[in-house]
Amino acid sequence: MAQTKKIVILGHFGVGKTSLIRRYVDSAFSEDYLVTVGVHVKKKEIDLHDEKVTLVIWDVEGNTAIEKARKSYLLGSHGFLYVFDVSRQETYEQLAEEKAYLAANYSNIPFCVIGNKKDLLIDDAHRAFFDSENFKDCYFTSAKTGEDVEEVFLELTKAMVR
Amino acid sequence: MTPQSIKDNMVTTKIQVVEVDTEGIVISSENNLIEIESNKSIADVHPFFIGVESMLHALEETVRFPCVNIETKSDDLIVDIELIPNGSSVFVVLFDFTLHYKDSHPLVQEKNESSIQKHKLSFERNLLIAKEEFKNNFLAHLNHEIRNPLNNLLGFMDILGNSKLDYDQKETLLVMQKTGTHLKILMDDLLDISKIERGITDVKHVNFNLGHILHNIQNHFGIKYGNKPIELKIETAKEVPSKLMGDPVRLNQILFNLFENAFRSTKKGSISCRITLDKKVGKDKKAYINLVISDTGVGISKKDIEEIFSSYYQLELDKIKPVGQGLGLKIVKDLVTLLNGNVIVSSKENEGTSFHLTLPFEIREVKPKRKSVPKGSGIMMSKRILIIENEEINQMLFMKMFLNNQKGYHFEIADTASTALQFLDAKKYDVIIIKMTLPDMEGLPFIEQLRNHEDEQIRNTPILMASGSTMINEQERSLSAGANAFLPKPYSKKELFNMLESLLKS
Repeated sequence: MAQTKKIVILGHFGVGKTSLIRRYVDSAFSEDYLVTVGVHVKKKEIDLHDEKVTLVIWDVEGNTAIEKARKSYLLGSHGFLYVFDVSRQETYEQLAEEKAYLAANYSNIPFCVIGNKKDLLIDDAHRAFFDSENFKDCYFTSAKTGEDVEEVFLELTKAMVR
Repeated sequence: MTPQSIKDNMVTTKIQVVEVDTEGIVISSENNLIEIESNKSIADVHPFFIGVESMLHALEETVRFPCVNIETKSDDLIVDIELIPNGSSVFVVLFDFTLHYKDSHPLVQEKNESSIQKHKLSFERNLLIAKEEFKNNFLAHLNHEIRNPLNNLLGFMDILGNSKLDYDQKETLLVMQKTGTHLKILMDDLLDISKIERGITDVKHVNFNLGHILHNIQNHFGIKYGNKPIELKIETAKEVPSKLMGDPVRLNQILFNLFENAFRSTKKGSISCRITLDKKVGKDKKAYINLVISDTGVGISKKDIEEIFSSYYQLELDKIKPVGQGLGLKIVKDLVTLLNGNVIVSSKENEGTSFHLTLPFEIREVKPKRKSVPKGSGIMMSKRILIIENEEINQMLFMKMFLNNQKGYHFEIADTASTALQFLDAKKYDVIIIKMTLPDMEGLPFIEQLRNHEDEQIRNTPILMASGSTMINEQERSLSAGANAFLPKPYSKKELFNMLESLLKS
């Protein structure tokens, strides 16, 4: 029987959470920023090692801190994706604290950190900045080009199924 | 219609109650908001319910999910959903707040967009500040690096000037010296800009005579541009007090820059400076002095006039000659602000430009002079100077400077701090000349070491720090480490000897 896994996407507003899901589930992208109010839930079935996995993806409204998110949205989660925007400092300034919050409050739930809008990383210094130790476990994606979007969902799924 | 019927209508149109078992199979459902079939899993209705299905059997208290977007075949709803445990079943209650949430959407959109924009602007602002700071630090350090070789260049030219040269050689050397001095002035200007912007320029409050400053300017520019067909007129109104207190160095700098600017932009005609008294304040203690410097030069276009006080801006005076520096007016503006004054410019293209300055100074009370007794020169005693210098060119320059000097200075050169200590143990010296970086240790800790030396004689020997750095904080650090004086490079032989003399006297 297919396993069902609930993933909640967290992060500041405007970092591209909805766009990542649209890219992943619907293979679509739009430049327009349309704010998410509340939660949208989407589903996608994938094959992992010949086994079907149903991913239920909760696209929750952006918050400046996970602590401010509506707690009931996080109930029963199997994995988290924490998304920041590489072009906006305020979305990754508190990254260490946010990771620590997840580790402390949801210690058994795997999570991946994503630096989205990779397509905007055009100068070398900017790129080198994200090569540093602080970002060593991060995935870098572009919902616009689709680069590495599928990969990060796959990595998280592997961690959830393990 | 009754209040109750309105209420009932609200409940039937806005609330839907679904009963499910703990496996998520629908037992019964109203179908007023969403079509939900009995005996089927609620998870089939919408992906939202897939996520909550697993929570049902362990549900102990009511759980509320606000603002859930449910897309159905016919409609997009935004509902609050409550899961209420009821023994072996669970009530799933949907409250339709679609209109309410949709109304708030534009507000949230606007709030988020303006927050993103605000952060973006503050980031850009910080970036600009960081760039400006980097520029100033870069200028200050570049300046330091250039001062050292420049010092050697000027020093050797000075020495060359005192040797036997024929007429042609002397003329050539004069040009070289002028060029070197020009380079030094440029370096000072650059430093002034970066120092002013770093907020570390100090304003002096000393006695000075306005008449002397103006006289010097008349002389200087009269000689420098004497071959140009330009008349230079400086007129001071009678009521302008001459004996003032303030910062004469800064005033000089302001006037030199403005006159230099006037001469550069004028081919022929006249340059004038009119000095008048604007007002006296506080029982005649303070005088606001107006200085209007006008030329009959190329003038400044309306487009350019707003830009002339900004960094590195330079007017295209290609008809006359390349200007070579655009720093002067920026310095003027910064210095005038530093002195709490005001400067404005008015100009007409091809007619000329006027700079209107207003500067406040304190009026000095004139005390009757006491007669002084001239000091006797006495017998000249020879003085021993220890120079700590490791670079060969610098050593050579010292040798040349001290060779056959008329002051009776004897000197010895140590190339490291440890050699200097050996010399100091062996002989008594009257002055030590030191630099910032020695091969075996930094200059400042070495000064501290000398100041804490067990030998009282060494402890009290005057120390002169000669450095390429002209940063005020570096001067202060040297002095607080125990140096008696600081001599910034490039310095002339005369400046060095004057400094030594004053150290030896004290």
